[in-house]
Amino acid sequence: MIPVTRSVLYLDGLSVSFDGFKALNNLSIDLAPGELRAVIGPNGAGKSTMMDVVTGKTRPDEGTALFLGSHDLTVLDETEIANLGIGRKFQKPSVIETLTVEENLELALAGNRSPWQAIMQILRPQDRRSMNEVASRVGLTDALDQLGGALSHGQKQWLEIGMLLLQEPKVLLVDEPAAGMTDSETLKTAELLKSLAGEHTVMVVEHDMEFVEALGCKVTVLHEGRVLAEGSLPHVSSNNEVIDVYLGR
Amino acid sequence: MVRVGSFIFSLFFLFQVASAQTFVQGKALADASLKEKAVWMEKLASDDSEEATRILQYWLDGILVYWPQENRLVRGIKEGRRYQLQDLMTEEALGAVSSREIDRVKTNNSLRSALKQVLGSRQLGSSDRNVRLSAIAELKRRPDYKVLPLLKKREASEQDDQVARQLSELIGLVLLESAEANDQMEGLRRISGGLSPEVKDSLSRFLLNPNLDPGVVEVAQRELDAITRSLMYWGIGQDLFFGLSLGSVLLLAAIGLAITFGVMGVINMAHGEFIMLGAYTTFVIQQWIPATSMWSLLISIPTAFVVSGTAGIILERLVIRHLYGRPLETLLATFGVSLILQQLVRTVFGPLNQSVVTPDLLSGALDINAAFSVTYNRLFVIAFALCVLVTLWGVMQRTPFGVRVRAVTMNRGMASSMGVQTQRVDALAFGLGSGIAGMGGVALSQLTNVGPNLGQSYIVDSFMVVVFGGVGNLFGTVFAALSLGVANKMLEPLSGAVLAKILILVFIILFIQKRPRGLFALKGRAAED
Amino acid sequence: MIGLRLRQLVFASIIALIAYVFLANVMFPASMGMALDSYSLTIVGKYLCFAILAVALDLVWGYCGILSLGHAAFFSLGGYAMGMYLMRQIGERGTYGHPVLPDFMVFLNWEQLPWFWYGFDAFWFAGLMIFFAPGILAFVFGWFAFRSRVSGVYLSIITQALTYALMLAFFRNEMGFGGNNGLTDFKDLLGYPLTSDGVRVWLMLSSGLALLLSLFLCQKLLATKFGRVLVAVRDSESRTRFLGYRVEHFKLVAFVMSAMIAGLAGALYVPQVGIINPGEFSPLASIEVVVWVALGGRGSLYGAALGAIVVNAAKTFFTGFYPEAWLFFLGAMFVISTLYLPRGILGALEDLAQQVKGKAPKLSQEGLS
Repeated sequence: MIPVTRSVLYLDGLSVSFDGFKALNNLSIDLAPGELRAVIGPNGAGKSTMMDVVTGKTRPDEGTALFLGSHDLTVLDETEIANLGIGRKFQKPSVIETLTVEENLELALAGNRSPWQAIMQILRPQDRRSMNEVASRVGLTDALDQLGGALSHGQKQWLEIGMLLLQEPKVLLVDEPAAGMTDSETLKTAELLKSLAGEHTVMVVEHDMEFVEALGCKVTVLHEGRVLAEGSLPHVSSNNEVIDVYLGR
Repeated sequence: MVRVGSFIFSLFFLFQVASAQTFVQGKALADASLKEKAVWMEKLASDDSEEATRILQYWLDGILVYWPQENRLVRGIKEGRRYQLQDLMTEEALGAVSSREIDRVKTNNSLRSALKQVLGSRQLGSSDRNVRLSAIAELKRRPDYKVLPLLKKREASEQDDQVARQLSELIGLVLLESAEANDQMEGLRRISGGLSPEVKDSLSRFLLNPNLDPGVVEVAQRELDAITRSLMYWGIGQDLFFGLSLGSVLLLAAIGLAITFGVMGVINMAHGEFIMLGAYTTFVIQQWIPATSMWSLLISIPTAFVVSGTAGIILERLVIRHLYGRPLETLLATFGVSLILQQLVRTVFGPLNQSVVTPDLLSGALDINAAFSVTYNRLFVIAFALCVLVTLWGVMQRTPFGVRVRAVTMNRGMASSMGVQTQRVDALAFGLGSGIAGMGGVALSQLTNVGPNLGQSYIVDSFMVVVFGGVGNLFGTVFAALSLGVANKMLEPLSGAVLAKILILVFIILFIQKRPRGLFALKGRAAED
Repeated sequence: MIGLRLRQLVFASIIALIAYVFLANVMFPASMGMALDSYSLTIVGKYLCFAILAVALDLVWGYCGILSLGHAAFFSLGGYAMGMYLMRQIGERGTYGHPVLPDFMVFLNWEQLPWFWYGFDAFWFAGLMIFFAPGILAFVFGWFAFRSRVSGVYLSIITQALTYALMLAFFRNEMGFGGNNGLTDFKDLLGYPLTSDGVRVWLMLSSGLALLLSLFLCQKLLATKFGRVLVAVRDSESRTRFLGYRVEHFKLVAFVMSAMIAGLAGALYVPQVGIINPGEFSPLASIEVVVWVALGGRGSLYGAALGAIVVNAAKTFFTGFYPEAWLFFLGAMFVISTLYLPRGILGALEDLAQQVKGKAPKLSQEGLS
């Protein structure tokens, strides 16, 4: 299929209702390749629902969602979408609690996902190297043998980020990465995400305005399921509507 | 004057007695060969007296006996090795004799059926309409052209509408036996619209006759087709009715399960036993209040609700509460409870089925026609389920308790934050669901046997209803229960009960593919968690 | 995660048992004088088969989170496959003396063998079917069930429905599997008479070896990445999807393997008890398997085997001396094991051992669900 757009992620006119409540209301947003984008907005604005649609967890009632201009995200399922190269870090840390940090990382490693492979596969040296590298990058080298459930909240967040990195996705959807982190960790995360942009496309949902500022990228403001404003942070911060519904005076 | 009167009266009496006795030579009858007996029977048949009727009746019943000592016919009932003799007319006991002292008047099959016919004809004139109706029904079994005059005579004087209709149909059947085209046509006209199996069979047999007039054949075929079609429709109606009553039972059984699963996300494997407890409650109450009275049933209903509801609350408090958030464990633990309850009942009441009697008011049926009858007990079950449904709907939609239950079902966390005491709602909802199951058991006791395994038969079906209809929506459960009940009953005549069940199970398994959460599932993020 | 020590203990016990029987019954029966009598041999053999079935269930339940309430169906299918082979072996020695048709078919006035009985006179074919029949059923069922994302309680219910439907079907005489009498009156297996002590010993030993083999294979499998994916599916199915794993396929592989192991268990069981009937398909039978695993220690394989042996020993005891009490006991076991022994006996023993050593109890997975 010939790509209809050069955007990596193209969402147009998405609407989703749950039992009468419109979570997404004609939402349109698109990401250019290599872009870093921040998405902000009050609770219930539809940020997580938007990510649900992109990752295949929720089907929209109306609208288009295309990945790389040709893959229709509204008909593929979570596994297919993940394998196409869209990775997500969830709002609530969702590492596998009963597996060790190392095992979690191993699962996330990009590569063949078939059961047969899983039975036969022996960890290659380069894979082990990648895992160790990522582990040190997220500060979990000393915790490799610990069960995921034994980690602190912040460590779990880092583990998830680490898993996301190992997946080597083309698009990273990061949902509230700064939650539960210290100031220095927050800064570190922002730097990490900035460094990922370019080779990867990154969309970050956040409430922490300092974090968003540190990202220094284009910002989209969502409200009641649609885009309220878009532009640089200073630009949207001075938008009256945005101030009214979200930022406050 | 009085003396003359009494003398004449006694003469008259003697004459009556004497004439009857002289008419039937008891010994001759007893000794007669079968062929001769047939002749005797004809003679008796033409005698209209009460005595002749009795002789024929007792002869048919096998208790007509000749007593040589008194040279008369009497009634003789065998008791051990001796016979208790009674007078034919007065039934006055005459003493007991050994079998050697009497001569039983025997029959064989052909005599018996002939006797039935004759007696049937006699009963046509009985003052009791039920006797007349049963006589007509008997005669329909083997329509005999010879009794036509008798029947026509009876028709002229029959006052009762229903009896007259039956009689007309009978005459129609009889006329079909004639060789005359006119008679046959009249017969066809008379039986038109009749749906009883005798009519259908007679018509089918009639059409096999190669010597029929083409015009007659045409009419007869038309009638047969019409009847077959009617029977099919009524048959469907009958199956529908059975399906509705089964669906009503399933509804009562499944609603409780849907409530507890909706509110707490637990599948209670002991649910079937709560149904069983309700059925046994009915049985126990019947030991104190005689079952024939409607009160027995009416009292059982709230009692069963309390019994099963309490059991439910106890189960919730002792077991389910501690397994909150772990539905699979709850399933296992409640299964253990189900085993315990079954064994408990087995130990207390014994492993065999107990009979629960239907109250008089509910026994019997409304016969719409020969192919469709509405039994009162099933009607009661349907009506009862409807009442429970409406009441439940009212509770859920209009009472504060109902609102709380629905809130907890949709979003437990939110409801709790708003001040709803979820623990209390859990316990009460469980009690409510179990109580309804108990009432379902009461309804079930009217339709089927009550035994310790009663719950097991209905638990699988209840699950299927919940799985099919989805949870959190009363309407979904209703729809699922009724459609599964009807589907089951409609399939039964085609495939047999076992296969019908299997087919439905397979259907549900396949259905789950399309709608993993049931037909009318709750949507939304909270509900999916 | 049950400690290594305890697992090794169970493993060692099984080996010890096999060694004992081998020495006492086969090698030196006369000189040792401690041979097990045929009754005990059969009982132990049964227990071992049940242990294999428990291990099979633990594979899908303990490690993959699929609570199958119909696993006895796979056991029974394997059993019936073996049974059909044994029936064909009877030949002319049946009551009706028909060289080809089993007695019950002669009784039903059937003229010829139904098509699905062809091939069962050959052991290799029966051997294949022992794995294939449950395997194919598991494949078809699992394909539809897992693809539709039925999970949790709903899935358990339809596995019940599956075994219930099979039970109803096998009870019917017209199906051609012996109806409610099942298949019985077997004479010999591979030419060896089933009633002889020697054969009993070998059957029991085979059961023991099969158990060891199953434990070994499952353990090896679960130590690979496949095992870790299964655990991930069990604990965070949706997250595993988002990691790009085709969850349905993993579940299917595990489910089919489990079914085949269960089939093997059934096939070894039937010649030892001499009969297979549709009652084995009953929902209650499958649920009992769950209690074995839950009580023994879910997610440990060895715990499952242990649980099977312990519960069945109790069952033999109760049904022999206090039959009325058996169901009370079984029901109570369900309640107690779920309320107080979430990790089964093995888990409880391990916690005890840790406490005795003075260490804190190990982090356990939060419940079974």
